[in-house]
Amino acid sequence: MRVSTVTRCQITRLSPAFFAKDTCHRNTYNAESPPAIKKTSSPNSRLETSFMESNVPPPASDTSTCCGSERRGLLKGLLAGIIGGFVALVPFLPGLAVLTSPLRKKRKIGGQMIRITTLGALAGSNLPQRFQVIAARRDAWNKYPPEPIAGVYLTPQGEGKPPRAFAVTCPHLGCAVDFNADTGEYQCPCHTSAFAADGQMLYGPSPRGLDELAVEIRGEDEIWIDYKRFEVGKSKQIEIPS
Amino acid sequence: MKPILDWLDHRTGYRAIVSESLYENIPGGSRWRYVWGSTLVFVFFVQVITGIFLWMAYSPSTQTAWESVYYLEYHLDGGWLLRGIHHYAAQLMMILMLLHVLQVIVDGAYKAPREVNFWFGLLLMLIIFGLGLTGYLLPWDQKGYWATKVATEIAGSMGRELPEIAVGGADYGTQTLTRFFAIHAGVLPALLIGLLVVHLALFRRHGITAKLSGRREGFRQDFWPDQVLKDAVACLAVLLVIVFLSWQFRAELGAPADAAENYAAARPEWYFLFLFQFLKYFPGEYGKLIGAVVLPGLLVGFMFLMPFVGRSRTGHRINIAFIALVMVGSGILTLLALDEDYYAARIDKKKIAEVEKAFAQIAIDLRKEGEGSPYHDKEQAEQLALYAGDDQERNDLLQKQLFRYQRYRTSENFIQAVHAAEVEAARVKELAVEWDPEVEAYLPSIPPTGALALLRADPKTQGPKLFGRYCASCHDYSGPDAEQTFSSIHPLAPKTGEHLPNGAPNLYRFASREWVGGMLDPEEVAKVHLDRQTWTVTDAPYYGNTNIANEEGGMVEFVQSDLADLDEEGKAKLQSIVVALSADARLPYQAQVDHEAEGAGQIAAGRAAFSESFDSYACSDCHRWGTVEDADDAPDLTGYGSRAWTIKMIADPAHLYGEHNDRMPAFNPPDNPAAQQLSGKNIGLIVDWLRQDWPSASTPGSSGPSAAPGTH
Repeated sequence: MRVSTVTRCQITRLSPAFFAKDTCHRNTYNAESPPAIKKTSSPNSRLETSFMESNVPPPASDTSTCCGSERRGLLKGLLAGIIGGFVALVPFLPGLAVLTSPLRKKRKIGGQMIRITTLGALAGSNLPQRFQVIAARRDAWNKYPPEPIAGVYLTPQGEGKPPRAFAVTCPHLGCAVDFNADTGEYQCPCHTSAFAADGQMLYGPSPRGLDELAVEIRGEDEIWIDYKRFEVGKSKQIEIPS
Repeated sequence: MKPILDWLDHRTGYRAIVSESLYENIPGGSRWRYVWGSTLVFVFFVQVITGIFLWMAYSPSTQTAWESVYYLEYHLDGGWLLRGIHHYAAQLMMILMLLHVLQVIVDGAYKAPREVNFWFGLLLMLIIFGLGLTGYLLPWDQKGYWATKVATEIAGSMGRELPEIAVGGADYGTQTLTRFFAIHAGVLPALLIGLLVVHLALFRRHGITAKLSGRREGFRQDFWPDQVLKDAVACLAVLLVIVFLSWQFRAELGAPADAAENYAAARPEWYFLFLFQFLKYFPGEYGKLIGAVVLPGLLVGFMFLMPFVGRSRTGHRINIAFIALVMVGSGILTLLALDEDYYAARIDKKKIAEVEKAFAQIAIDLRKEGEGSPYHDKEQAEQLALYAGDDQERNDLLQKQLFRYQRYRTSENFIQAVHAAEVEAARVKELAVEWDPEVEAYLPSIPPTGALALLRADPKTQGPKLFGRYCASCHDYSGPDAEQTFSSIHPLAPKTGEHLPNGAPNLYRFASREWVGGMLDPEEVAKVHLDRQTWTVTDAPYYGNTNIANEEGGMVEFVQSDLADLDEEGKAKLQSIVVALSADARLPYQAQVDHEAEGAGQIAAGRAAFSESFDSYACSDCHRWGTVEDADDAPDLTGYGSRAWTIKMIADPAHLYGEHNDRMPAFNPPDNPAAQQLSGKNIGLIVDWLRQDWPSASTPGSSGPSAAPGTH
């Protein structure tokens, strides 16, 4: 059996040694007649039968054929690339739709009326007092029963007048401000912004004064506020839709 | 451009790597039969990508798993498609794996020097089975939960340690989810990638196993672009199938898993159905071990030996025959499983008509004779033999039909369970949302305890179950519009056929105007229809089947004497009492007409008429009602049929009926907590169901389960 040996070792490629070693040994083929499945029962031929032809490399410079087949090859390659690229891309599409879903969520502008406390609870002091904002909250698929979600300062304005309400969120970067009774100022512990009792900017890095929330008296003496959140770090008050 | 690429190639050697991967030479040229391996890699790629995006939305705990999948499916853009692709790609992977294994074995690609590669392929196959098993549990719905439970029970036949490690304890719970999730998303994919790399490397080392004959001799092509093109087209076809299936049939999401609700429709996913069916033939303690572990283990074990068996021509043929047999066998088993499950849907009922008739007759005889019946305390087959008597031909027919009949009943159970599961799944999704008027949309509003809590607190779902268990042995519930009916079979006295009162009123639309009107109708109040053919009471809507009908000087006597033959004025008076009494119940489905009657003054008229005599008596002579004090010992009708009144009635009928109570037990007696049969909460669920007072998400303005009644 004449054997023409064209091995991969002859081709300079940066293949891992793994490949080179094996293909040097194995890649022989009969150029005239490929090994056929023989029917004799001698051990040699049995081995041949069970040994299916292994990989054989093309001759060193195989691609220099006529222009026609090159163009065909290019077309096929392009098609393969396009189809392959397309099928690889498709699984990403619904994934990205899900990922960006929060950007398209319907948001409502406007606040939530929440009952804070009573006028009676405010009486007794002229200073601002801190109260909890208790409301139901939604988080993905959950709806939580009413629980504390934020804080608010209520400043009495005198007899017969509804109090003023200020959010405890510092408009600088969002820390919670405290009211200092000694100095009569709201003070932010993070970057030492300070605000007057009526919410005005006194000093510090905050771009605007404390955010005031609308107050409504319902019934005889129930204090309700229109709870809203505002963007921090901006000189203008911009509401965050919920 | 070329100088830049040259620079890059000099530093990375990319050109050699690229041509190494792309210019693999394929003896015999590219072929369609080689695409299956590539499609498998592609589908795995799809699973990884969709899996990672799913991972960003999924939360593995018993209170958030179902909820997060629900949220993704119904409330995130494209979530249904993402999940659908992941689901159907998994199904398709099983089929593609089949084709790949088949092609490999038929083409003898397991033979030397490819034995080790073949083994790696088998390991990959086992990993894919594992992925199919662990992924199924993650949505934590009834189907997935019970199907996986069966699988871990099977694993338990080899000792308790294995399932306890997988399950994270003795019972299924949060640990099960976290472990299965880690296995499904972390361990198995990592293993798969590792083994796949080796599999591909070994494949490339030896190249494709080409069957060269005819024109393929001497014909060669490169991997790129010819085989890649074929692979890409095949992957495109696979992708189109997956997307089509996702589009047409959304991935299913059943009701949340409930360990307490036995799920009669539990089945593994279709690709494991053959194993499920196979196990039916191995009952008993060791049957599970043999059928599910030993035998499949031997089959897979043989596959590992295929490379050695296949060394000879005959051996190769044995291998092909083996895999063909396994595939055909599994296919047949799968079809058998489906056939058995849906038998009731496809069978011609004529084929069991005889045996059904026979059982009906046997039942009548049992009712007639009681313990004296020859059929008493016998197996079904024995009963039929007795029934056929000396007629051997008849007996043979009946026995044959008995087998079909039993199959029919099992299948019918299954189909009903599947349907009930679908109803529950739809219901829980209805309960999960609330209408938000500010955003003008239905927003998910599941409590932190999870969606199962919603279902457990839903009267529409729980009412019928509780009623069936605790009330339906005495009370009927049937009517023209009833979504569910309960009809108890009340037999006549054995042998004598005497009517022994042994039932209770039909509670369909209890306390509605029609119901109250019927009770005050002399024709209806004690109606009881006896059917001597079937030896049962067939129709007794009110007191007809109770001892109250026989009371002297009781309600029934009053209705039948005083309320019979009323003139126009009398009829109007009676009707106003009916309207006023029924209005006390504040039934949500009657809210409109009750409101109108109030406006028209009918309620006030009725309340006045309550104290006016009919022939000899007025209602108020015996009944207390609101401020009407003049009463005897008949039930207090204040708030008749209302939620509170009905709850008290069920909890302790004696406090309303006193001595007149026939046989109704006290389900939650306040003075004897030890005798409690139903908790206050459960009685509340039954009552809400009877009053048809349940949350309905279809009406805008409703606000979920915690809303006040009257959302219609």
